[in-house]
Amino acid sequence: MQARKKLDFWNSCALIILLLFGIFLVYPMFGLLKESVYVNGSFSMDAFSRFFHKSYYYSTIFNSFKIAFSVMVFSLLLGIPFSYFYTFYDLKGRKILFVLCLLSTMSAPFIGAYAWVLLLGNNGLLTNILKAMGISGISIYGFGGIVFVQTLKLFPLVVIYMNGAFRDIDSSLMEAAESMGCKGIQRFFRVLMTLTMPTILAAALLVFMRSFADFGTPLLIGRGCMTFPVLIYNEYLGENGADYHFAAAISVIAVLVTGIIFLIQKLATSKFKFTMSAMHPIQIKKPAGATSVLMHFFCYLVIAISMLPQVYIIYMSFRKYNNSILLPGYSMVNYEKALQKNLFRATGNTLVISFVTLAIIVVLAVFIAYLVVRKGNFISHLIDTISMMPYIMPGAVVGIALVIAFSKKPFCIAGTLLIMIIALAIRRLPFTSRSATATMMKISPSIEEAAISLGASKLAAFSKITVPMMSSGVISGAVLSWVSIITEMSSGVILYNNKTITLTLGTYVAINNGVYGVAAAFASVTTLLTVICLVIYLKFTKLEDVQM
Amino acid sequence: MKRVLMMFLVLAMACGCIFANGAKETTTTTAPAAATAARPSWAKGVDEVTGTLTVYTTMEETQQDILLGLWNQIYPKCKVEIVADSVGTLATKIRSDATSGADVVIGGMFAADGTKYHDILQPYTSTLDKEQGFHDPSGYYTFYDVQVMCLVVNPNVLKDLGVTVAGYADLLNPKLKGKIIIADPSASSSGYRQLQTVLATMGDKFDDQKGWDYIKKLMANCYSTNSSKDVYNLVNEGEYAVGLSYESTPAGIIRLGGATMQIVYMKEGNTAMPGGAAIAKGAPNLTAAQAMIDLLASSDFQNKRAELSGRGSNKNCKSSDLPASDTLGLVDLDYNYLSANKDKMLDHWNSLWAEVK
Repeated sequence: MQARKKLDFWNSCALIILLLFGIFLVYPMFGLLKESVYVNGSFSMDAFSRFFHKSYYYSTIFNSFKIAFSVMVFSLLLGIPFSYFYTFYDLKGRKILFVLCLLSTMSAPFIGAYAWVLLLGNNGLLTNILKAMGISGISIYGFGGIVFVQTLKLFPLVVIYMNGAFRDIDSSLMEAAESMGCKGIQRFFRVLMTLTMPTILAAALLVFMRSFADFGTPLLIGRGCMTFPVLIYNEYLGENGADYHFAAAISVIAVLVTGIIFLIQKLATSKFKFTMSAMHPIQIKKPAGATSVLMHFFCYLVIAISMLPQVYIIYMSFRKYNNSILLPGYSMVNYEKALQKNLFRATGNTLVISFVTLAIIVVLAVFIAYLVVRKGNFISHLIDTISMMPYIMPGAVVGIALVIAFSKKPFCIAGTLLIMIIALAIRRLPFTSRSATATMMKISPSIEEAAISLGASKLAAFSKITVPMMSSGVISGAVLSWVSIITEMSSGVILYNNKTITLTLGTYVAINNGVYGVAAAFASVTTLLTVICLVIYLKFTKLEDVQM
Repeated sequence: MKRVLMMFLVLAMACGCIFANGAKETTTTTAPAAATAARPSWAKGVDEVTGTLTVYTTMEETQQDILLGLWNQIYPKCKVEIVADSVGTLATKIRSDATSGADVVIGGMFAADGTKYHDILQPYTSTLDKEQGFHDPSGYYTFYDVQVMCLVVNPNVLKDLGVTVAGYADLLNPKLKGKIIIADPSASSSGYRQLQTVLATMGDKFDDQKGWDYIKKLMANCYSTNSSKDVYNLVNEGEYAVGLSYESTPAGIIRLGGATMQIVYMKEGNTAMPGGAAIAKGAPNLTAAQAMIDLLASSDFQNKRAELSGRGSNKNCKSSDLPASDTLGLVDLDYNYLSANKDKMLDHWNSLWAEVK
């Protein structure tokens, strides 16, 4: 009988994870906090007062908030019906619909924004067509444009979440409702929506956070509508920000705002605690008549519009560009120039960074899930809370915090692949650890105990029994984490340099430098890469199992 | 299945590593042809200048092409890595990233900047300094460009709006609301130069209230960007009607053909200022950095540059066919005043912008 707790495998695991978090998460955050309140060696809240003094600054919070909220609402409005039609009805070409739906979310939002500028900008292709038809006044710039572009990028996330939720519904509940006189639309709202409310709230929060933290889209088309991440970026990189004092202060405010949103969402979700076991999964029906036509029309129209930017960019990448001037005709000059501008290196970096980050995240998520679910002690709850912190930190904030913490000796790793991997791992870990925890909860502990009672060590029981049982759940979430890693930009743009540039950042740099043809080439290569990986991934996982 | 997935992951990472390492071989050699012209006498030896030269520059594509074309002819053994951005971003990157490895900073730095960037630079006087028309008293900068400002306009958009633009005063036309783009002076050197020019020509005295009153009214019509490239590119694309820009690059693009934009020189007047390059503090490849600075100062480079566009600073270089400087109504600037008051002027701009927007 041990009087002291032995330092067994799990305890040492927990301590190691805590140490990693301490170095790479807590230390930078404290650095950021310190930077925001210390100027010239003395404590001062001047940065905060400066922020709240000028409406130019604090209105950015409102702008980001308004945008994120609108995007959230519209994504739900688009995503829920789409998912409903997809899950409940046998639409023609449903596999293709779903694959295209995944594809449209697989590029960084700002690439879509840039394509929409080409299409709907002041001199865009569609704008000119519309002008010829007598319709004018439609502009991609400003609030409306940002909401439009982001909604089209983020609604597939809602679709994926809702697919999972709808599939888990027990059809006998639906039949029971119908037998009690609640049919059609009424049943949809009173039964279906309520049953899936936790998922709806989770999807809503995800979309909100993504939109709030999105940096690329408002930078490109936000003329007149300055958002939070763009302000942080401008203050950080503007010449007057030689110390990061003001940018750090804004970052702290950003974290507080997103923290409040997160708590609100948690509160709302806690009102919907129930479990369901899908004994009778939903049967897919064949749609009929007018409703069928409407359903197909809706789904295909939405997908067509959201795929339009990517297709247009691929087309533009083959047009003849002379730096920023578009000439008539086609040529491969953009790809040649892209190769000169580190296309090869960017592709390599993208592959290395994304797979290493994914590996780190998956391993950490599995360990954290086990610690939280099986060993619910103080340390594991601490780890869980800390690992959720990045969920509420906009990417630019993570980037700045890491630069402040790690650009001086002895920890000088700024400007390396490692710091970009760390930033991405920090940012994406919460999602994977959530889904790993959810998967873990579904596995009964009695199986492990049986293995242990038969003589297996704790480690063996974990690796040979638990991990394989979790693997399918974790791996199906992996592809979306991988995609979100590749398309991440807001922390990368602060941390990158020429040697660590990735495909998405290469696109951004090319757009910034006005070499639009090269940007199109980079974006097309990114699309190609994601398509290849999606295809390979789908060979190993059934389409239905794709989940967050 | 899991094993196959594992193997695939490993394979992908291996591929990535191969790509990432192999990429170092794809160089930016645009013109490695044998030098048809005789090797310049001031150039260092071919074997002296090797390795990699990391250049942080505000130059855009066409000017980079000219510079690299000449460089690769003269020093084929030295590969150039370019990081191109606005000067504010470049300075922040160098200051925040100890591993940035910057060797030279080209462009974005002007005579009136005083000691602003000296914390990231080291002094160097080019071997060709005696040929120069302008010298930096502090010994840090080597000038290669005399920068003059201008307005870029899109004639089609202006026609649609029914507006003509001949100078700064015309920009206050309410029909141009939201149709003017400027570069943010805090981030972009050309934006700051435009600010100087506006204050010099639109006020009775430099930096007086009348000048700032004009600026306030102008801001109401404008959108701003961090990058001076956006200014002329977006006007060219027709996204904006007018942009406040510097002269050399848009003039070069127009000369290359196919551009819609046109240049308008402000009837109120203009300012000219030498801009240049310097060697970064702690430059890893000092020899190559010095070679690059010498190249920039030389008439060989400046002549080639003037063939496209741009006014050189070397006394021996040919003048380009840009309008002669005495036709522009040049106003003198007080460099001492500028370097002492840059922060104050930028703060004034920022608070005014925050008020107006």
